[in-house]
Amino acid sequence: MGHQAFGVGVGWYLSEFLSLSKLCFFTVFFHELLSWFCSLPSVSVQTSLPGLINTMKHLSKNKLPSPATFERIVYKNPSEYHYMKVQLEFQDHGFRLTDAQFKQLIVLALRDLFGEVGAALPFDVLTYEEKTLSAILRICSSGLVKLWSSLTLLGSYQNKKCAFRVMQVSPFLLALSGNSREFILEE
Amino acid sequence: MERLIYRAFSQEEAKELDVQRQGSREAEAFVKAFLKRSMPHVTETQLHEHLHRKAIVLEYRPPKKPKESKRKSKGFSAKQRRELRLFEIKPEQQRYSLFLPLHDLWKQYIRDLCNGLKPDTQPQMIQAKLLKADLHGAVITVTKSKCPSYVGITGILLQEMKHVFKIITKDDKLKVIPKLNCVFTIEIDGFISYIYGSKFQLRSSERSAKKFKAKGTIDL
Amino acid sequence: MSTLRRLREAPRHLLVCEKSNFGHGKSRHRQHVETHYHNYRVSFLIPECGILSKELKNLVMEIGPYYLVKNLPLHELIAHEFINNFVKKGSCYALTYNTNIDQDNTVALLPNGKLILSLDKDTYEEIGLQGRPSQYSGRKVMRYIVTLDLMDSSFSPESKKYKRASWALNEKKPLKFNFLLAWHHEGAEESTVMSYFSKYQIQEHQPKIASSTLRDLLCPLLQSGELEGKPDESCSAPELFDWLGAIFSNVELNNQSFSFVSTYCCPQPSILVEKAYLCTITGFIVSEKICLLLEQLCHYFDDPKLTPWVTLSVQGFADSPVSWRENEHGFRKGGEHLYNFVIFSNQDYWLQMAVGANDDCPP
Repeated sequence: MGHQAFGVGVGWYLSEFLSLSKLCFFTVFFHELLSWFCSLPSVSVQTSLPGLINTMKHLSKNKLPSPATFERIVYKNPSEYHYMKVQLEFQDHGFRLTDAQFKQLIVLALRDLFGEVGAALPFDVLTYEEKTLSAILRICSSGLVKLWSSLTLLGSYQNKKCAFRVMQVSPFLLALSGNSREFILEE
Repeated sequence: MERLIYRAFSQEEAKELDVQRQGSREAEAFVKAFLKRSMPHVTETQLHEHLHRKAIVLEYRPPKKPKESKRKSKGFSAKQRRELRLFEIKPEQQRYSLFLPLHDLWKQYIRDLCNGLKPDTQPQMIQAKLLKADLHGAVITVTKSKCPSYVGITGILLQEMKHVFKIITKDDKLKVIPKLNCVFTIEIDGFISYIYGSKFQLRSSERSAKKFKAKGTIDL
Repeated sequence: MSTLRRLREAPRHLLVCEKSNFGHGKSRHRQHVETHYHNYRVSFLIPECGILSKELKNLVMEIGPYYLVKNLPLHELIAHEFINNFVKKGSCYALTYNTNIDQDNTVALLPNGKLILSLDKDTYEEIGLQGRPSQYSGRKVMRYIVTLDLMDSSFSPESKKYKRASWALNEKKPLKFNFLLAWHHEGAEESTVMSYFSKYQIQEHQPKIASSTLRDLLCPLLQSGELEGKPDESCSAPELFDWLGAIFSNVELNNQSFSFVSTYCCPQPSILVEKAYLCTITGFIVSEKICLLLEQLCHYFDDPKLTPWVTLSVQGFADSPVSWRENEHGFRKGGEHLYNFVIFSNQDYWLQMAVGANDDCPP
């Protein structure tokens, strides 16, 4: 009877002091207490120190950040870059280009129309498919018109006739992942 | 000459005119002083010359030709004509069935105009004739219009003014449709003609004399 | 000088970023999803996940069928039989197939009963139905929008409105289109759509599902409370939007700044994730199913998971005449209108809505 009362008292102590800030101190204290407890004949507590620490950590992990308040931001022209999905078509099929050659071709087109300043326009070939000669280009928004116009006016490469087909243009790269105009259902 | 100017009044004239008689010398001095005062920039010798040399005509009127008789009456102004309400159709008379004979008459007139509407007649000829024809009594439909509520109105044409058509529909309603920005359809014996109202803004009487130019496409 | 200025101009676009919590009473996430009709592509990305849970898989497989009807005359959609059987009993979505919003006539039926006709000038002048000019016309109006409210009480069979609409679409200018139809209803009546339109060529289609597991992915670090991101601690919402696009297009994320071909790299700070599950559903998808998908993804965090967030992104048809609610949508250089949810483990969410040039700001 006295032991049970003592156990309740220890439990009350534990609940009061079981806070994260005092974690380390009281794990040691609790371990000392437990070892003293275990020495009592009528109580058998099976626990281990690492297991105890893990439980404490799990309790601390579940303390999630508080729910966010409502906030709304409207960005006008947020995207500094515009993305274009293009495809290069040659008159005689079967001509292949590596991605570096593809980029060089576009630089040549820019130089033809806008000179050296145009050719220095920085753009990226984000993806390139060699089989279909299609690519996704990234250009800063102020250079979109220049790039698009030079792609339109490109007529030939190494004396072979070719043409660029622009499939999609968007300031959001996410919009290029699906083209609803290419949605074709088989009959 | 001087004597004439400075002649004194006779006694009776003086009494009549209620003027005091003056001696001729005083009269002369008075006239000179008066002239000098009223025309200070003119010298005395010039004044003298004015009085002596010229013959001052005091009253002269050329004989006038007699005026022409009253002008032809030009008729009433548009406001007066509207007030006369010659062209108004009273509500009791606004019945579709009353105007069906007019439509038959018009059909006959067009058939005569085109020398018989055979199925193989050339459309260009009908077009040319219709341009100058009178359309009163034709069944006219609005096919295209910039204002969608006019589209679909069909009826017999009662009056053609410069800018509007007055049509009576089958429901006995008199509708006034502006010609501007509308395309009308006239059907006769299987020949359907489209009239572009924007180019047709003339009185029917004036239309017979107008030459129409051919244009490529006409957009409303 | 103005030519030089025009050379440097790009069409305007808007991005709306919202942050809230699903538990908030006033959270409008449901309205945003439900009022975006005509969805073409739905994709979700779950980092640190190899296989899909059973509930999610079932939901994905059961995104209902949609139908393609060929040469359907427009007057069938205002027939009262159609209205009573489909429009009033559930949500019926319809959109013309393969028409361009900037060139041809386009018709859309919204689930709230409104039939929207986006007509070019000549058709509008001939059809005789009252409409208004499009918001995005220049000096000369080339596009008109006619709206017919089918669920309105004044659209009964004897009313003047109905008679005029019926006359216009039956006799004056009978228009025929190929329609994409979808019908969402509570109840067990299946394939009544097929039987109703059996006179016309109707085919049933299932949405295409493509799933893949990506390995060794660089993911940006996000904090749910910071929409704009803290420098060196978390990324901002627009950066995440771009990164997500790169993932979906299989863009190489780790380029060096001196590389010739591409210099694109993942927004910093980022961590390397071992695997991620990406699933894309393409077709004519109804908004109610997307709501269900969103709820299921919220329940993903019922058990503790390694990843702090998952995303769900939806893209609309570029040729739809409306974007959100009844805002007019146009196609300038790219007719995009899309939105993206980022769902955090504590039920916070970020919502990014993006529209292109000829579009109003999303609600």
